[in-house]
Amino acid sequence: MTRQKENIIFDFYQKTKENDFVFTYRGLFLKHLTARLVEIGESINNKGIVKRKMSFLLVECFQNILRYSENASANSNGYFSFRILNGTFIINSINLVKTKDIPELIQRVTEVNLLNQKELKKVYLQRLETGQFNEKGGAGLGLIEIARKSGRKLQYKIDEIDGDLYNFHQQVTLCNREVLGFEDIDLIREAESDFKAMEKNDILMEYKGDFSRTAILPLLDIIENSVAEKKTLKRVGHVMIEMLQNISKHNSNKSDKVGVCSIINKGDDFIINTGNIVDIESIENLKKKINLLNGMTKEELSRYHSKRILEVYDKENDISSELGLIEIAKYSSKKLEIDFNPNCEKGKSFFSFHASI
Amino acid sequence: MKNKIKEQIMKDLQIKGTMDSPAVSFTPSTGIFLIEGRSLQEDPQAFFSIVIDWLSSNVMGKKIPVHFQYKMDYFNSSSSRYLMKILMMLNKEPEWYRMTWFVEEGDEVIFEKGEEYKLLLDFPVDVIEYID
Repeated sequence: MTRQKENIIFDFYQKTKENDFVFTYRGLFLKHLTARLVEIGESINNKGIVKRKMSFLLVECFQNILRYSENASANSNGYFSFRILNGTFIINSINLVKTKDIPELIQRVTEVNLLNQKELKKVYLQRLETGQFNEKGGAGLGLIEIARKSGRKLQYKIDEIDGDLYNFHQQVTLCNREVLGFEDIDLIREAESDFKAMEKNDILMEYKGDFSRTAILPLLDIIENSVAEKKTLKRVGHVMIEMLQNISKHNSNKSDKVGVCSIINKGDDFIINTGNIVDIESIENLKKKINLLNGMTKEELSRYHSKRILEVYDKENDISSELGLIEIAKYSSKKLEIDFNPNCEKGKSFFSFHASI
Repeated sequence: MKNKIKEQIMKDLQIKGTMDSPAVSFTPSTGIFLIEGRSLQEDPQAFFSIVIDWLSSNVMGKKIPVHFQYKMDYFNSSSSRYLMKILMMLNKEPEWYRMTWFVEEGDEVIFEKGEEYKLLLDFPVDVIEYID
């Protein structure tokens, strides 16, 4: 098992330990993603943060990027991430902009940051009334609305890529409480290094949270709209469903479906990595199951699947986790890889699972 | 006499599909029993119990020819167990049933699953590809 695969998912687990939820996407900013991001947002345990506001901010931030960003070529990936950390909802985004658009961008962000809520409302209504529209067809209302709903300063940073292209980093923060002297967490640099790491390792998505059904469905949809061939996408979808649902079946805390997942996509190849905490006692059993499946050919896996499902379909005991593992093995293109890292709580281990399609 | 006829009239079974559970439709007049969509609930026992109980009471032993149509784009391993339960029920009286297993063009996974189930059943199973 390559150290790289193990490190990627374990690193992500370590990095996001303090977060209740994280979702990160690296790729093209496409219109249809807006609804998926909202669905993912809706599936979160929001820890007292108003869900309607979260959804609004996700839509406005993403659509603002769609409106104003420039894709230099078909291969220009952007970065969009949102998380819940210490009762705060934070959106970080990185998208390409052209030199000519920068002065206006800086002016708009500076402007909204100088205004208080009352003033923001006034400017918003004024712009609506006068109908001032810029060449992008917007009226700068998006940024004003983002500032109004978040109630916090927008944070940003601009980095040159080459002569005419820049990366525009933005962070929007929404809290579940107003604390006097509350210092906004600045994740701009962390987002930047995360983006670089995702580019280097061809990571399409990262997710830390509860793998309930409602979270899995939009992830599935994002995969289905990737550029690879249909038959590959279907295999990836099936394997991803089983791997994510496998997390809750093997979790140390049975009522807790929390885990981490990252999906690597390079051309037509996908690697799905999942990680979750398991009891040390379950390690040997998991190793045995995986070794057994790795020793079989596709035909043997197919026969074994039929055999097991016929033996137990009508029984009370739950064999669906075993069936799930067989399916993962059947639809993967290589042997399954697993690893156990004891560097977490006592008596437990971080179980990482990797499937290639 | 009218009462007897009423008793013999079978009810439709109609269950609306959701994001993660399939639509189910059984129409006695046509004999078509369709399960369509996706089945991704981690524990679909409650959902499939309704279908299995209904089949058990209204179809099994009634000597009704039924064309079972299965048209799914995803179903998880938890669901496959209940699908097997349904198929094994029908397999007890294979002379009355036939199945069409629909496969969206390019979906090798659903195709392979269909071929596997086909080998386990005594009634005719057609695996048919369609373009969405």
